[in-house]
Amino acid sequence: MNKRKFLALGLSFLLVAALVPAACGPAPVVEEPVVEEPVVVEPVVEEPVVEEITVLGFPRRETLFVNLLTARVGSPGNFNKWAGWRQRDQGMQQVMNEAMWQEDVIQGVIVNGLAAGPPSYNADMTEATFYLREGVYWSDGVELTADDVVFTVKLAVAVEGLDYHTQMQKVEKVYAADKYTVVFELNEPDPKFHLRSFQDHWGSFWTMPKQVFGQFVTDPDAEVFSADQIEVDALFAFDYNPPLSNGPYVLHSYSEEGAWTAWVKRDDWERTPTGQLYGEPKPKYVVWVAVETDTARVIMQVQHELDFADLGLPAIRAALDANSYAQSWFRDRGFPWLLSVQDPVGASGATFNTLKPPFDNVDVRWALTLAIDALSYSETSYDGATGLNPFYMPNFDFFVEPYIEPLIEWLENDFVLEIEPGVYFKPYDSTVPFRLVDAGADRGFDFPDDPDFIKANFGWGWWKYAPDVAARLLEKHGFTRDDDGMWLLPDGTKWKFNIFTGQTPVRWGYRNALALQVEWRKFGIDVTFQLSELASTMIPLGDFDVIADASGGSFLHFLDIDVSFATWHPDLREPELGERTWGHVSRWSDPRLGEILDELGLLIAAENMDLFEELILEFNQILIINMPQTQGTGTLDPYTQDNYYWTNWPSAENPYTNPMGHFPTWKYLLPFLEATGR
Amino acid sequence: MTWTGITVVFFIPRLLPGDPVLRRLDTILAFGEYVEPAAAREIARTLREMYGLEEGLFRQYVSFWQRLFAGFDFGPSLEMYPVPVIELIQRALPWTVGLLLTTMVLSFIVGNILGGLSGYFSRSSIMKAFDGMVMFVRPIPYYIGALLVMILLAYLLPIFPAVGGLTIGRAATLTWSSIMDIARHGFLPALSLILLGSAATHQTMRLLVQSVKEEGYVKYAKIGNVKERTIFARYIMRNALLPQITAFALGLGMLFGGALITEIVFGYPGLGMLAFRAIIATDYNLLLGMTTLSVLLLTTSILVIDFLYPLFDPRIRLQ
Repeated sequence: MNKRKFLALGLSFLLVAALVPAACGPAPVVEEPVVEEPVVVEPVVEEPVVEEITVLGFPRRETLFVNLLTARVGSPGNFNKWAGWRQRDQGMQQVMNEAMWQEDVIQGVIVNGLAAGPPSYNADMTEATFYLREGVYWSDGVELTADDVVFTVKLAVAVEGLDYHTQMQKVEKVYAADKYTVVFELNEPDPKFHLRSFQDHWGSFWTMPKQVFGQFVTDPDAEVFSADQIEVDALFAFDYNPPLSNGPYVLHSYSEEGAWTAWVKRDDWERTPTGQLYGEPKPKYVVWVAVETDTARVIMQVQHELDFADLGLPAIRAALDANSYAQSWFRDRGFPWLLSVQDPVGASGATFNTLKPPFDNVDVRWALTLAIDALSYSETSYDGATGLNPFYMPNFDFFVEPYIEPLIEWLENDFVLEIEPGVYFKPYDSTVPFRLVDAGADRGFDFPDDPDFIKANFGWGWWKYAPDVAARLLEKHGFTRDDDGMWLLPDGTKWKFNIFTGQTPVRWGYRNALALQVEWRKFGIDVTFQLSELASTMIPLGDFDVIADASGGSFLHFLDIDVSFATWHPDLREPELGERTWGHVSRWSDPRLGEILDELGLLIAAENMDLFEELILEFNQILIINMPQTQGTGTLDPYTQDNYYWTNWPSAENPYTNPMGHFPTWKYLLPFLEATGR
Repeated sequence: MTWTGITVVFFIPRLLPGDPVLRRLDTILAFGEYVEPAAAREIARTLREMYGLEEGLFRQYVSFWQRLFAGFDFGPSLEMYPVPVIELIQRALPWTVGLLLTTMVLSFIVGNILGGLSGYFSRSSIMKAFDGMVMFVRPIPYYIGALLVMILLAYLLPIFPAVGGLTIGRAATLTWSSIMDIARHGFLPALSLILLGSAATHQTMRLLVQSVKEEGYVKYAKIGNVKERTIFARYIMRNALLPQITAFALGLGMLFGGALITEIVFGYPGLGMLAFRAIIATDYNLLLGMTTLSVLLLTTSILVIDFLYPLFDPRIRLQ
């Protein structure tokens, strides 16, 4: 057979193969003549509403689907949070567990969770007393009492490697004074003992159910546990599945591959702190789903399969364009600002490695700061969708009066830089947030002109864009420019350095690093952008020039902000590069910072506000004068919510709680959601 | 070779800066959990002891081989402590094997047949048009191609689910509905892999066939009036397939790396993502477990191919 016949045979075969299914298809329709039948009126019978049911068997209108931020759960069937680190944001911290105290940075309060109120300390701060909320029950019907807290603390003290074992070494003795009172005798004075371990932001000391974990201890009621009385191996091997809840939901089911975890509302939800404080959570079911990419999240949200999605800014815009039910922080979508400068974790911007020249020179750090145009920075990092924060702490409402306002007064009226002997410059610019809003108006967007609203969401001000002053500061120390306008070090070599981040393109570290690179290259410095998955290892070792990932602790301790500033203590400063630092990664400190932290560490802010205001102001002044970090946009976690099945989400217009799907405060959001009835 | 590969993988991660404990601590801090700086140092020491990292490097090395020979025990995952490494691998392996084995076999078959036809009928306008399409598809980066497939068939024409190995709420069982659900979820990742994989195979096979069909024995067969079908199948394809079989065997050995980008784009629960997490977290035990099995699979598949080669190429006889 020749080639042509071979091909013809092959094509004929394909044609026949294609036609056979068609030939087996339905017969062509032949129109029958119409015969008129008498019309019979049937009584109207209401068809039952066909409810959309998920495969889990949950009615969709009763189910909330939330994106799992930390991706697929590595050990989905293991809920023993105390034995090794666990992903907790698949619902464990959001709906299963209640903390002793829970920070809500949007409400600006410390929510009393398992605690009935704040703790009390004795005169010399060596004894802390916790008062538990009454009427809280585990999901097995057993009441949560002081015995559970005492048991958990004693176990943590005794078992090395158990969660919070190290922190609980401060506890000399712990006992239940009565059914709802726990007394801690500490081996050294510490009025912030409860803050460090029991006040939750994104993790804290969790209480175990004694009735479950008591099985691993020979005598669970012993005054002190010793390691030989504990089945340590069995305790660590225990997967605590199914777990008991002291929160408003219990585990329903989960995927063995870690792709989703489903929770169902407890019938006795009112016997939880959330139920007592905020009422009945509205969704009956909450399911966390691992969706890896923004594309997939947008697709699912457009198809109304994902009610809450963590997204990068371009994806947010795509979601809002494609889905009329989607919203972000600003519910009214007439303007582009999708993100708030209020942020739960901390500030983010440029952190200088002050052990590496020329970043060891404060004038160089200030020069780099003044070389940044705030508007351009906001546009590059987030397309103008966010403000900037110059402070070493976030722009929380509860910081405004005691800490931010005094600082602003100093910045606006007193703070100057000495550029040259006798020549001064005021670097602070309070018009920045308003200019950001004006830039948006130029793009055709409306925005409320309430100054307080603008400041709350776009910051209070930032640094002036003064490249000429920046140049003078550099020239003072022997920096020069070449013929192309590029900066040269005092030794005549080209000034080159890298900005380092370990984050993905949608996270704040990457966005800030990109913006910094653009601004400094514009200024005439050869800056390279370096991205590495090993950042979290390299940064504490000092293997960087400038980083943009967040650093400096998380600002989680309400007015006791000295706890958040702990990394600045000079005792923690590591002076050798290559050795891991446990202090601030800029490797900068000052003896006065240590004195302030030591003094405030023995005081509770609420009882000593005048002193706290005075010393925190001084603390911030020292940091600003020395500028080891130039703060930027904050550690933003953008997202969208879908109003198709559920509405009344927290927003800038209705900021009743933290809107983040991975935060423990999620349980406080659920009673306020409203089902649309679809 | 196996011992060398495993030894290299044992030592290299341990020589990198940092360790899994510090990575874990830094991740915790990055998420906003407060750890008192003074306590962090002590926590790191305690965890290092618990994970057996305080022992000397040689002692750790010996312990590893002892556990391996005792029962293929790679110890607990350091990132997902105390879940055993072998359990994590067992959980992810069926997904990777199911997806990648299927797509490798299909890419092999489709790519080689079409490549062979294209190489043999190189003057056919149909084949030329087909070659043009392949040349267009081949250079598309996998990530872009995968996203295009997802957007086309999960969004614009919402026929298939965008992510996951199974519908939420379903467990993987041997029931017909579960198998169909897995197949439905696997269709888009498989399609993306087959499209781009078979394009590469096609091009390679085409070149091989074009070379083989110029061989003297092929011309002799044509002169000898051997049927064209026979020339194509037994004279050309069979010879051209030999290097492709070797490549296939090597590809089988790489199965253990999973398909990371596929798993990320489609949220598929395979070994690729596990390997990625192991690298990011510097999870020594998980890295070692996956690499050991990968090395074993690779060396085994090469050995098997060496033994099976005489079946494909009668010119080779075992000595």
